[in-house]
Amino acid sequence: MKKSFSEILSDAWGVPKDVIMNIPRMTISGNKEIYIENHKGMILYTDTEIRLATAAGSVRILGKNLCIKRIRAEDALIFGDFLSLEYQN
Amino acid sequence: MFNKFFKFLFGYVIIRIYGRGAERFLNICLRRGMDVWDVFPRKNGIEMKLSVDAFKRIRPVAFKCGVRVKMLEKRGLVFTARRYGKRYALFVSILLAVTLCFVSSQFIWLVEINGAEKSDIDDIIASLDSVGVRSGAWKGSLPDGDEMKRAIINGSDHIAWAWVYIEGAKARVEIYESIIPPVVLDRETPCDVVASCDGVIKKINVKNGEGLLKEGDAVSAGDVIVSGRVPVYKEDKPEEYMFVHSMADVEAYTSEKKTGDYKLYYESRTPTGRRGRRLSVEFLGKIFPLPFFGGGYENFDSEERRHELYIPFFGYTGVALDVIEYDEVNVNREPISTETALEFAKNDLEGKISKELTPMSVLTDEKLEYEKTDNETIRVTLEMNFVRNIAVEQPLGGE
Repeated sequence: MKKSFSEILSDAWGVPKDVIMNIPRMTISGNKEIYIENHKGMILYTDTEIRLATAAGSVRILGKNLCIKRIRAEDALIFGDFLSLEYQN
Repeated sequence: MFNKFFKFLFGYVIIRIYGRGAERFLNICLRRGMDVWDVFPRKNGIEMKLSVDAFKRIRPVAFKCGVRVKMLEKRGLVFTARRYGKRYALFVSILLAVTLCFVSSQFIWLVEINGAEKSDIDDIIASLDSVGVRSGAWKGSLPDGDEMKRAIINGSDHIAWAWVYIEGAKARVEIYESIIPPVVLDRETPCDVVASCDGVIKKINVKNGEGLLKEGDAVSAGDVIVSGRVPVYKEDKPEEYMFVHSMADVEAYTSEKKTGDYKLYYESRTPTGRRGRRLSVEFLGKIFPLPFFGGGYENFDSEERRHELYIPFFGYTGVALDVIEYDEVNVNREPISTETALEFAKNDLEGKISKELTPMSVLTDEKLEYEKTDNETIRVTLEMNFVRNIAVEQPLGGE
């Protein structure tokens, strides 16, 4: 698989990929809280499914009672009872 | 907390977005730097909170996305002030209350002393009083912390360290008491060995001094058993005395007797569910009782609670609410047998006697007697006989 220029740069300099390539970085606390950085916007928002656009494809979060506690242009804090999290290209 | 406070201060609105482009609306709002939080999915749309500034800029965004925006609620100080803007009396009252709280918090209204277990509280209060720490004192007139510390430590022998924390209108005094070192046995001071209680001597072992009594002798409390005044005989010289620190182990038969009245029933208390509450407001060091609702119960249990009013950055304001809650109870008396009452009485009296005993006392015999004083009460007497050490050192000439 051919590497992108930014990926080669990241590997060469040892810089985290989320800094150079703008790929999402997620912090998951149990099944109750997800903090996601570097998202590109909301695609779908219901109380059972949230789909966010990112540089690595869309991120799909399935669960119950989902809600966004705080959202900004680059990051979002999502609460709820999560069942699954998957990437979709 | 600060975030919430500032959001309330500057005001915010809760809006609901209806239509298929709700997510797009949210994305454009974020790209345009609008402050959005608490986003909840709702039927046919999304509900969110927006700052007032952002709300003023959403009209073109809504038009672009083809969504309908409905404002549900306006919250914050700006809107509250607008709503109650003409109620001058209310504003003046609030201002007056805040000013009073502020002024009140400039004085000490409560002195709380923690950690004093062996020290005399009255001594500590007197020491604090001498440096001006008392209820009603102006905080500006208080000396510095070191001076207060010195006054407390110098006022008592048992305090190792102390500090006065001023928290609003409260002076919290933390006391750390010193550990008293064990008494070092003084073998130099002349003394007698005396009896600590009445008894009959069973065994006597004199280690120093002159024994005055022997085994089988009866003694009363305070009788000298071994004297520290020892005669010295020298030929052709009058009798002289040398004074020594007398020591002895004296085992004696002693008797302890305790009497108490005990009921022939067991009392159980069941709450009826009826409650009364007595409130009183504490302000400027004085207590103002409020009208009492409920109460008038024949039998009740009570519980006291205290709620102190704190203001951020000022601490305790000197205003407190004292609550006494009364729970009515049904008192049920269940009769018990004399044997059960005697068993309870025996345990109770044994406990009382054991508190007065010296260590290593050996029980030899006990006798329990009772008499009925009325239909519901018995008077129980417990007599316990022991063999114990009754020797106590007493300085010469002391009583």
